[in-house]
Amino acid sequence: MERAFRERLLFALLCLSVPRRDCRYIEDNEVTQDELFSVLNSDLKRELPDASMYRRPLRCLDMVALEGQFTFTAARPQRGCASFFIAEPNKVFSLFYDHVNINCRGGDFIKVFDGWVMKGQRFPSLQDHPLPLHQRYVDYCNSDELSRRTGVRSSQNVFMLFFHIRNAGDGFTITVRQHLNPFPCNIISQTPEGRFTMVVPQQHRNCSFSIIYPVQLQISAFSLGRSSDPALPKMSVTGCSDAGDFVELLGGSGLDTSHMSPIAELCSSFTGPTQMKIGCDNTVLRLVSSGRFVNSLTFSYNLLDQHDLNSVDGFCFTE
Amino acid sequence: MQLLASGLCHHNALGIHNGVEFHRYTPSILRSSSAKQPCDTFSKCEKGLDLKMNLMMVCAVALLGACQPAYECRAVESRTGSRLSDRLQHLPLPILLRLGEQYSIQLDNSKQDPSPVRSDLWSHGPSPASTVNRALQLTQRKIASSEGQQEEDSAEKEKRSDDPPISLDLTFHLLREVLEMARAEQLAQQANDNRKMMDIFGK
Repeated sequence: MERAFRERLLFALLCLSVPRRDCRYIEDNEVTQDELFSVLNSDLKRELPDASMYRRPLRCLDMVALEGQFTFTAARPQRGCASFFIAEPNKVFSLFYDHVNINCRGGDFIKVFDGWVMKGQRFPSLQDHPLPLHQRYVDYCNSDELSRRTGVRSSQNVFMLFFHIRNAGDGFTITVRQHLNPFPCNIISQTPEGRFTMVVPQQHRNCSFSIIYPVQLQISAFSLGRSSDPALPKMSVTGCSDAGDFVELLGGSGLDTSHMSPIAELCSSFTGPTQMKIGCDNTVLRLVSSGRFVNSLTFSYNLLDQHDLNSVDGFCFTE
Repeated sequence: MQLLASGLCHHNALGIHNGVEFHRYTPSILRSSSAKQPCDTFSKCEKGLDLKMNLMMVCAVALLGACQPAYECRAVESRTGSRLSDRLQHLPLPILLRLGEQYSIQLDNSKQDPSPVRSDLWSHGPSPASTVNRALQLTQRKIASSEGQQEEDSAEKEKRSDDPPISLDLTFHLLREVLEMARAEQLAQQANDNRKMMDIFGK
């Protein structure tokens, strides 16, 4: 083989092997490819020595986007601490208690909440989460030994840890793992820019994708089942209230989707971009599914620039 | 091919076949002098050597591509995990002030603990005198009775439902700040993992 041709071939192969993503904050949720790598990664994680696990102290107010081992030791009485955990949209968490040294009878507690709660508002909302509220709070002190050893698993890519430790020197160590979720439902985006496809495979449930930034949103595709299905809902001029399957676009200043204002609704399959600018603190796309169809919603979003933000009259707006 | 290469990569990352398997894919310029004829990297060689070189290149590229972590392409910053930890511990004062003020505003109307507690939001040890010390409290909110009333089957469930759900007062601005710091930590850790992986391949 000629030297020049060989050099060109090697260069071409090297170019093909570089990461396929385009931009810093584009989220690519190609589940098939991620599935492959996540299987390999999970095998690696089980067999890698402990020395390679990420470890760091946990702070009283903290946000963690990694898996690893986190230790909190109270240097002084710590009341009212909370840690937020967030993963990529197609992941869920599992939490294991490695070591706990707290005084439950003295009022100390460690509670795991399945979701995020802020100013009394929860994500996912009561309507969108599969569990009743009291089952979403898991109290270490009220759990039996088996439950403590088994650990806790989240239903979506976010969860919170609340803890209260009175005695200096007391604390705990937890290990947090991430696992692939092939059909993510109820997601908070880690970034103000990204792209996502939400699929609800014939399940009677409501799934929300929350972006806690003012964004420009572009919905590129929305499909309800197969296009040839005669039972597909038609476009309704009176809105989507009669449709069992639709997408609603919500905006608000809290986490709870049931407290947010509807901005738009889509209840008919379409392809082709629909663009909107939403200047709210929290923008949510909510896919309501009856269970009759396989529903799919593809969209992308990016942060509104300062010019668009300046034009906001102090409140949510849409264009 | 991708699965096979991934399997090989898997083994290499474990270090099980670290020496033996990986030497197979080293470029020819690092090969020992056991070749029958001295060859330049891409000069004319015997057919067998030629085939081996091509196979090596393809396998090396496939390993590189297959063993890339399935993460999005990011503009990786130069800061390491340890430097990030320092940054978190010694945030500039204006950021700490802003975070502390925004956080405390949300607690104005909540039940205050009579014994004020120092906040260790961003430091592990005692906060410097110049940093903002704010009380960090949870607000326990009583959820409407309709939300708290659930049918219970066991005594444990009843006990849990009696505990008031806990909430945290935080602004979206503060939430975004800590989220961005968590993302920076994640990127730094991924860069560290990638560096370790390349170090393994480079041996």
